[in-house]
Amino acid sequence: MKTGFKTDRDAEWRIELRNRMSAKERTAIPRVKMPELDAEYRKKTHREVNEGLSLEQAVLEATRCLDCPDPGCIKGCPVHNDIPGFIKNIERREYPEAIKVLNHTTVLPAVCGRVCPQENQCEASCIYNKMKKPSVAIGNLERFAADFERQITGYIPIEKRKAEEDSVEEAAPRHFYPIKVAVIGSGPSGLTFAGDMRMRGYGVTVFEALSQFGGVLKYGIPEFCLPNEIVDHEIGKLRKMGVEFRKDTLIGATYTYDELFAMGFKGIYIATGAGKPRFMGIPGENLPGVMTANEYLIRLNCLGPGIFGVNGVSLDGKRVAVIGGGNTAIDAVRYAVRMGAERAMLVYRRGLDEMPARQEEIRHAREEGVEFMMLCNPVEYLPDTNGYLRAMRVQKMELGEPDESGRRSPRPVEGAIDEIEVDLVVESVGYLPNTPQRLEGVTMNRKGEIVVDETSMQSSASAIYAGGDIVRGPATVILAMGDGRKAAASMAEAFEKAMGEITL
Amino acid sequence: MTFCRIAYYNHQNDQIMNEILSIEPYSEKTARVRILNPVIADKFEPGHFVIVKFQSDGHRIPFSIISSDTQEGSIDIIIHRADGLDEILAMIRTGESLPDLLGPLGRPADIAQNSRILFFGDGAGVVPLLPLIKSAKEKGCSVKAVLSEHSSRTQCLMSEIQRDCDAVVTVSDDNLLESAMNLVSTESIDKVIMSGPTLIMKRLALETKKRGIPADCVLNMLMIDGIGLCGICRVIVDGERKQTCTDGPVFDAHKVDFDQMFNRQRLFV
Repeated sequence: MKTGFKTDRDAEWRIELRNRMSAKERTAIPRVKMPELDAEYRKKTHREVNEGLSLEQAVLEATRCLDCPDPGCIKGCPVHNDIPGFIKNIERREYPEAIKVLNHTTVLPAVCGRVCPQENQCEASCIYNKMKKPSVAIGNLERFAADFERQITGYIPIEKRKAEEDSVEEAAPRHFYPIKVAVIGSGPSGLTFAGDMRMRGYGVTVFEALSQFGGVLKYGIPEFCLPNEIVDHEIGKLRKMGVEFRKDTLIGATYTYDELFAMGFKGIYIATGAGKPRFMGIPGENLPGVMTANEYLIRLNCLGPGIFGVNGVSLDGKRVAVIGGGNTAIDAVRYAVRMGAERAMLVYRRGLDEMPARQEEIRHAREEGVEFMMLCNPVEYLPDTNGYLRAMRVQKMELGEPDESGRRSPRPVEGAIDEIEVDLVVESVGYLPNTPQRLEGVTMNRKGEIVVDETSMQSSASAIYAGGDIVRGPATVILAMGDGRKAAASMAEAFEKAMGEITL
Repeated sequence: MTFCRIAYYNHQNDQIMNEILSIEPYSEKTARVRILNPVIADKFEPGHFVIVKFQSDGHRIPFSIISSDTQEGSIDIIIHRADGLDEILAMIRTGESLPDLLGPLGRPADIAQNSRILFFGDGAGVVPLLPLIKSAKEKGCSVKAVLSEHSSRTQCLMSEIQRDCDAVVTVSDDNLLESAMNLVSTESIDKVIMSGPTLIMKRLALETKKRGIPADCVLNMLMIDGIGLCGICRVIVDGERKQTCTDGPVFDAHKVDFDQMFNRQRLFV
């Protein structure tokens, strides 16, 4: 696998394609709108909201890309996908070629095309922004290419007709090293690392504590944003490449780190993520009816809405208040809509502009009828006579000076406290790292995150690397993947160096 | 909902994992289930628990590990036919494999060598005490137990308890606490380990605290992932939020906020 892989911009077909239409004509095309399910309909279904571009829409959108000589989008992408390279293949209708270009740099294109915050990354660096026009819909096109590949079977790849570059689909490391590595966690970072190392010819085993593979992609992100089928497909591709997967294995408990080394693993990549919930820490937090976003989403994503125990809290219907302003909060509140909530409220202590959630998600939530209660902060949850949650007391806030994160910090408006009747409160106020258990010799910071060298992702123990949220704190899927890629490159380099030193 | 018959194949040991080796009924309502899993059997320490899924689309249910056999590579759990477990007991068959078994989870209990320990159990709470009683015996402790009489769960496990205890007192529900406190005050006890209904544990915790006797409690909380992600099993211990799955299930009884726990526990009684 090549870091910074780039297709040949001066290939004959590409020059011809560029000359087919002038830049003026291309920029005159309006951005193709992603087809979406109707808001009223989708409130009653768990189907994916974005339906995906049709073939003709994708080609039209791809035509907008100017194939710049110095593309900013590649620099804006944390894993440096060759964006014009794949888009131009869509334009010339060689869709499987497009996915092959992406496969050089990403193992999860169908996922990234859906959940990456492109508007802050590749699309933010698109040349169209300078023309004050909406950027090329890179995310939608990436998703199109990946979905196309998943949906076609029996297609004869171009190299069967004309031998050319390699692809993941051939699943072929051409050589094998008798060296195996262990990956802890099957989320985006672990999967990327696993794919990269396998491509380089190493034996890879992925250990997952829970019963399904995919980590946050399965347990965190709901079906209507990222269908599980897509994650399973990507994992299936890795299996085909020869990556082994082990579920129900909590490293530190089921096996210790020392045992992994004793089993013959020469390197370990820790990508356990950040999934331990933070709490508001206010009175009434332990009342039945107050839960974390993790509990809410895991129950809905993986267990269904059923009740635990006779008096358990059902997740159906009700007046639901989700506390927080991140993507997880939006996911939870949109899920509440789908569970038939009477009122689905999003309670955030800052304003709409300060919300860290993606714009698209905020728009979707609004269309679905979510009530946005901005500049509100719950200060207490109140019980009914039976000790169940009845209401919350909400403090009105106003924005003050920007804090160190650059966002204007909220402060309470004196005396402005409302009481709001609720049946269910879902707290989504941040995450703490899933600090590995019984891991010795590895330096961690005060928060319990693993300290690594930023270029090599190597921890203070030479055979242990780490990346993703366990290193950087809660961040995005794509950054976690970028870490996986960097770690694979440097771990492989270390192995190759060591092997070079052994001469027989 | 079909029971998963596909065995989980462990490539490392070339062995079928999570097979149900035997189901030994204690009574109509209770059975001891032996499950093949050499990895967990090796790691087991008294106090550990496992998360079991009986169906691939079923709930994740925590069970205390009662004992392990490292030779055979198996662990024992006790399933009681209540709390929605009736169906499960009717459904499982010897020779089938469980789709998911995660463990060992939780922290082992702290039992000092050669100490004098009084176990206090009521209802289903007796089950998690079994491995602790056995461990105390093995550590040369003087082991006494006070158990509620009417509970069918204790009745069927009594022979096992009697084997490992120096003295067992069974009492009726009405004077459960009094009997326990009598024992505590008349004999010298280094530690009380309790497991049972929250309100009784709360009173016993208060009484032992008054007399300055250390006391541990084994908490039985609902769990989902069992590895500290969901927060459903949270309890307040010494003013701090703790998770039963990762910080427990054994806590210092003098520091647990039983009132708050009682309110949460109604979620799943």
